[in-house]
Amino acid sequence: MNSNVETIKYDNKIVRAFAIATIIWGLVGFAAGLLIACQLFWPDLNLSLQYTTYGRLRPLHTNAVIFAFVGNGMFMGIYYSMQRLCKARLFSDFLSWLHFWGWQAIIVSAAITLPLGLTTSKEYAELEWPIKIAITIIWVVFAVNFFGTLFRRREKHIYVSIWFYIATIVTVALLHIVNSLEIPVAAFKGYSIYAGVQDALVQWWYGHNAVAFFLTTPYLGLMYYFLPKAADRPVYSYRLSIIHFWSLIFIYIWAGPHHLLYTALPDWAQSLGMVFSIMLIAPSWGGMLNGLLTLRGAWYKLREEPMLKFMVVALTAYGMATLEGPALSIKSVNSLSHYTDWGIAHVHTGALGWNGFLTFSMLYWLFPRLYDTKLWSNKLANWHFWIALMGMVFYVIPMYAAGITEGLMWKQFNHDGFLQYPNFLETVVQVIPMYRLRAIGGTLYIIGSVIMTYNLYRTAKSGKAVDDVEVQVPRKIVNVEEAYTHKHRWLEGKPMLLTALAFVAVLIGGLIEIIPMIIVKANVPTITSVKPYTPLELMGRDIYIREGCVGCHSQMIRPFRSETERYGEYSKAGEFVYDHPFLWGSKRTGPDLHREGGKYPDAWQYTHLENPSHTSPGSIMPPYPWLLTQELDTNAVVPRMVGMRKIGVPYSENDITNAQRNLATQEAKIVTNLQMGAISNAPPNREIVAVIAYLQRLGTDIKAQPAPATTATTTK
Amino acid sequence: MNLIYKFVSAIGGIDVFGMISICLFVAVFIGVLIWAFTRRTEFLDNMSSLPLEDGEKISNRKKSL
Repeated sequence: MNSNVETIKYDNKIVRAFAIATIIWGLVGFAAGLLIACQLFWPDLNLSLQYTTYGRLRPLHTNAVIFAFVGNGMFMGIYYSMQRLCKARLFSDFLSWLHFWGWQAIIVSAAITLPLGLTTSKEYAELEWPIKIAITIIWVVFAVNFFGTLFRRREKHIYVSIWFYIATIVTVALLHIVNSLEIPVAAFKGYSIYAGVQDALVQWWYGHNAVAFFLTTPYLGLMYYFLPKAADRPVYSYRLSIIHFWSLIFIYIWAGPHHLLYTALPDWAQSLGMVFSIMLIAPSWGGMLNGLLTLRGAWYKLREEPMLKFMVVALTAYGMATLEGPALSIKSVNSLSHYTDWGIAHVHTGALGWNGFLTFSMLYWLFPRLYDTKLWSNKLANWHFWIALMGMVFYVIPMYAAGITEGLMWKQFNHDGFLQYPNFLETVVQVIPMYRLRAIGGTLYIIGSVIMTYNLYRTAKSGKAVDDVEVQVPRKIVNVEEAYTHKHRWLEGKPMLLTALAFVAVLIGGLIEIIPMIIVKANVPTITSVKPYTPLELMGRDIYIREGCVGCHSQMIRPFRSETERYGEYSKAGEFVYDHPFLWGSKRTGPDLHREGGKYPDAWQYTHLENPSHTSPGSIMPPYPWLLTQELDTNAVVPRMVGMRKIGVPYSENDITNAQRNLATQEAKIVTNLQMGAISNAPPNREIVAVIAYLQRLGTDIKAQPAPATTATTTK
Repeated sequence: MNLIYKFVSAIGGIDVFGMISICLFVAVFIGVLIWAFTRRTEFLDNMSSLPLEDGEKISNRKKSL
């Protein structure tokens, strides 16, 4: 026996567990997506249940796909590749399984709480505070297991994939913690400690970088591992992969404000976001080309190895999405595309193409190895490939058409200078055929996934699960000095230094964006007529959050004539100072609601919520009849006001002591209004009364007095 | 928080943040370029072949491909 060699066992069981979870949650996430896609042209599919409305299920879809499907896929690939790149078994079997079951428990709790309406409403961070704490704990478990493995490695150098994994772990931790800071007011209810503009900036710093560091960097790391493995040749340029890594993580972290162009965010921050977004093309395309060029001279392998086909489409989709993203960040393009279905098309190029296809690629490659057999059917894998590709095309192209149609219709003026389509509903009806086509695309994609599931099931059946793979590896490095003789090699060998540098790179970007946030706070021009919400309005706002109204209705009127004509005065930063959390939204499937207050009588709002098609024939919004019958939980109002006061909302002692009485008074007033509007059967103390109170308050504060001249949106 | 605010206000015009960010990026980028291009070829070859040497035995399955 060679004394320089030792025998160890790689843990394949944990990889298998994550692989199976990836497949199951993938199917669930895709199915939820198809359901909400169909709800948009067939509102009956909201099933007249409060738990199954579009507003509540949309976050379920996004969370399932991002954190359950891609999350499990990421852990599967990382745990497989880490052991082999480090030539070491995972640090602790206990931590591996704690990580696995903890993550599944978090997913299940999300699947329960989101339909129940327990949500923060901040996109991709909807889960309420107890679950967020659980996520933090499980992420730390993952990190300990990961770094433990790294420290026990037998390979002195750290391959570039591991760099990407490190960046993922530290940055996701940072983003999650900063964006999740909230003050709990009940078991599953908390308020973001940030308000309005600050909340928006922190949220999109998070949201954008969640895409970067949850959906992109880990998958790039996986690409750099699995693509050379499958092609059986090294990556095209290792040098380029290093430049790719550092430029990508450094630039990505700055680009978040491109989600807030033309909003009340300061101009300079918007421009900074735009410039860095455009710069982002370079490293992204560098990475894509590095991947594709790895296949030089090996393209014939695509005929034999279905996983390579999936990988090539994944890389191409990555290239398309990362060219499109910067294009969408250009302010003039964004003025057309923002709030439309163009954004939906863009994210699905990334989700279906990049993440989906790369995950399928890994699954096809891993299953035969995890079960020590051959793939059951290459033919079925090819069917999956073509059906899923058609699914993507049928999804993305109609959504581009829909997005551009919406953007142009919203902006169209007639010869007399009036809006060509003053009724928002006209623009919705126009894109419904695209929604139908999109559902065909989604169905095809799911059919493909079902075929894959069957194929992988048969593959598993034809082989035998290998829990531990015995391998012979070189003994652990004894002479560390010898390992780092070359003066430039120090970085690859020092995981802590690498981690610290990566952390600093992302932290600088974060700090420079967040410090101005503090300045903004001091410089958001105070509008004296803007007052905190009344107790009833606050309760109504929480119901608005619970029902996920923000999924379809923005509350941010951009300073364009087409928007001020349609909705009223454009939104000012100072109007949102008591909005914990902000509810600007990112998509308009319905009209903006920031100036909704006073637009219609209370009775109209009542009838509209009871059944939108009564007031707006052809509307695709689901009815909300339960708001008419469910009692308002008035006991919750005091703890909520106390919570709000702790984070800076100036409720006086009197406001809180008299909260119940003030609430009842305002309720009675609205009920009287409803009776005057021929709604005689409306009892007070129902949730709808609170929602009406909130909607009627929206955007009305600045009407109380002429807006002061200092309400400019920039802090210059 | 107040302390941070005082510190930050003392920096002056906030437009400077845009400039700082671009300069930082250029510096980091040049640093990375220098770093990457001073690598020896044999080292790069060694690094890029890491995924291909995972110590696993070639099984029957692989031969059948």
